[in-house]
Amino acid sequence: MTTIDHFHLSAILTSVLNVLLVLFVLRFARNRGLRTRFVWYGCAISWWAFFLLPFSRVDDPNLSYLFCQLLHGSSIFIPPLFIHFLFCYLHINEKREWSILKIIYVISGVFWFFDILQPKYFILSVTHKLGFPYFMNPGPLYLFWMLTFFGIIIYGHIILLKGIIDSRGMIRNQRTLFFIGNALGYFGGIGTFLPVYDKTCFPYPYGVYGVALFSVVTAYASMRFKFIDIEVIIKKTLVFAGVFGMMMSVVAGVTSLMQSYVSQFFKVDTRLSMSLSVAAAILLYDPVRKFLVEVTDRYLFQKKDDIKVILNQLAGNIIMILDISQVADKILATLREALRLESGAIIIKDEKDKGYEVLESFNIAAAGGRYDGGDIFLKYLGETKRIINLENAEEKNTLPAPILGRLQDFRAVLCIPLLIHNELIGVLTLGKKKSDEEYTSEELDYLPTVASQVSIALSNARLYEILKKSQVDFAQQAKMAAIGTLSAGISHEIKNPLNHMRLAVGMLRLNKRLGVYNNFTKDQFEGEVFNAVERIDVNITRATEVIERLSSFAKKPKELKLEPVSLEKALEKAFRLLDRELEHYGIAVQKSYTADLPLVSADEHAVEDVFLNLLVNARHAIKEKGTITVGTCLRGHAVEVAIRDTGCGISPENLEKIFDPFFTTKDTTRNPDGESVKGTGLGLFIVRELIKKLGGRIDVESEVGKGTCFRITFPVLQEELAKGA
Amino acid sequence: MPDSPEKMSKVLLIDDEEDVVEFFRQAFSHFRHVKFFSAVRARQGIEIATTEKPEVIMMDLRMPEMGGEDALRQLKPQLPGTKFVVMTGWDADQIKERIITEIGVDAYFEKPVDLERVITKVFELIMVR
Repeated sequence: MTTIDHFHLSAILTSVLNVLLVLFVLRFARNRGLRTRFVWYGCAISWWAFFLLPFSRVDDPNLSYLFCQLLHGSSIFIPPLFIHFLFCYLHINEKREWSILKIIYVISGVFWFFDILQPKYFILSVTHKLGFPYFMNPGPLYLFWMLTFFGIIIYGHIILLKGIIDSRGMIRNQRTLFFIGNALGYFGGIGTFLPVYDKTCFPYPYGVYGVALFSVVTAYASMRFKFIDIEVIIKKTLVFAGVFGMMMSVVAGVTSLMQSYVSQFFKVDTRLSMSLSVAAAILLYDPVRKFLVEVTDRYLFQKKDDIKVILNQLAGNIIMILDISQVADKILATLREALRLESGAIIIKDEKDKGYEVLESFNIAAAGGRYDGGDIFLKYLGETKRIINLENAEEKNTLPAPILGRLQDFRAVLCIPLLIHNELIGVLTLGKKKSDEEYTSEELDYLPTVASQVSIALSNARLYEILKKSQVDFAQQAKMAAIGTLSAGISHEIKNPLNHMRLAVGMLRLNKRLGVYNNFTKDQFEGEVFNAVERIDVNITRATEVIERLSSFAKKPKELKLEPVSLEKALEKAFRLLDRELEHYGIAVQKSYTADLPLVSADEHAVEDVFLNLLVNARHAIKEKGTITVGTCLRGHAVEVAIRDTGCGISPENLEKIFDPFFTTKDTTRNPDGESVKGTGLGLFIVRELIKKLGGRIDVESEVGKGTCFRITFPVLQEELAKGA
Repeated sequence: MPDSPEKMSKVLLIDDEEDVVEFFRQAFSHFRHVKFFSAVRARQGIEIATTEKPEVIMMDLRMPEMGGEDALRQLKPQLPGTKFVVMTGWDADQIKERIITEIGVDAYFEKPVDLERVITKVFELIMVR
């Protein structure tokens, strides 16, 4: 190999190795700021080394000159990018240092301006020399630039040296290696400056190998911190390097083609053709970069852009799935694949007992776990309502120990509370990525959006789960729950007649034991027994009535139908089930029914259910003695029923939500007998749904501390309207 | 049946169900040493209790106007020598516990009650006084 071959080979090697290094850092560096700085730095070196080859190889002076400009266009920025990287790497934050950096950038910008727009001052010409087809001759500014270049590089090495002295342990070793790598690289870099001034002493032509060595040493230095699956990286980075190199060639090829062809047919000013090729390079740069990003993201790293894909997938698919487990499964599978996660879980509120369960998970030990509503972890999330990111060291340190412990149980790095109506309906936990990489800022930015989509999808599925049991079943649940709150009163009503029966039997037994019947005639005795039996019979009827009353409400309603209904009668029927209850709690009932109101069109059972629900609510709203007022009146072509209580009232913010499914405040209320009243949050939802289906409407007004008034209207029956007209 | 005590004992039943009162009136009428009083409202019962100071007061818990629990709380400190028997249709455990441990009654029957067992208990309470 000739010296020139060595020069070229080392340039190619440097370019490729630097691309590899950049990719390596891009993929595995944990610190985002540092990563960005290093990528810029490494790219500048690659770019420079890449154009070193065509610049010193092509037979066309114009092309050689262009490539010379291009390589300098990037090498001018090597020093400031080096310093910028060092500042991040060594955590240098002082203002003075940053102003120095700004000045360095400005100076470099000035040189760049000359290199691109007034190149004669920078690169005088390209001529045959030292065996190269063409090689550059320096312009008047070149020496200044070279001195500045090495001045800045020396400054960089001084602060790096300081950084080594200030550090210890692994970091010190890493910095030392990085120092050696850079020193070698820049020393080798001198080898490319020597031929400019017609010198051929060492390090020419082997210097550029030193620059290549820089990449190896730097990669080794960063690897010492962490064990990495090197095979995978190499496989992937090689593919990427190929793609990257191809792009560079395309840019170079297109520009050189333009130069040679266009100047063949027209006499073109070199400066113009140069500007055109630069413009072409710039124009091509972005689409190629985009293509590259897409290709690498899709086939190699699958990140960044994928978060948008995830969003689309979530939006598209998950909302459509209506089985809650399937939704959760799909969410986790999507996130797992797209972000390449090691673990993850979805915890969701169990509507039945207000506990939480781990609905779906992968690679966690806590699978299938259950937690009650008062669980410290869930309570914490419900209160803070914030995403926890354990990759943020500050956040990790300020987190309460039990919360941190729980997150570790879930192997979670990100913990995302799922909120609906600002209430915690579940939690999504995401583990670390298989690659050990941190979540990107883009991914973190998208998390709230993902969280709200997931929340909506899960709560929709949960709703549907209940709805699919058919609306009727759903209504049934709510009604049974309402009746359930009356159970103490109802059992009392059944036990009273039973008591009478047993007392009647007891009476006969006692009299027999006491010998009372010894003196009785047969008629007298028969009369006594008959009396007892009569009493028992009366009470059987009484108990049966209670049960019938109850079961007429409890009976599963069939399809809703429209029939003539008297709202007054329906109200009275609901009251019959509640009378004892209201009496017991000292709740007075005032009724003001307007006489001779027309019948309405509705479903009799549904209307009774609606009234029962509203009256039970009214009874629960009254903590101590109060009044429930019901009234009926005609409003145009509709009959209105107003149910007003003197209870605790509903706050304006809750008033908006009372008709929402699962909204309840009843789980904290205790009725005067000490039994806790547990709401399903379905009562009013059902009430509204039923009324809506029957063509009626419901309105509510309420004042905290004063009471609440529900107004329900149903349309008057058509026949009745005709009668009135 | 227990042995008859020598002196007359007073028993008061407070229950809003007239039929229940009637059963007990009839049952106690067989025992000449018992004078039976009754009331269908708690307030009326309290009046009778304070003037008659019965040996045993039997009481329902769920009654209109004033509940048995309130009546118990009022009467207990006033009548230290009186035994209290509760008969109720409530099946709430919290109430039972409150009545037995907090207020402290001498017997607690859940409806439907066995006439004989209640009466035996009443006599037992009269005897141990």
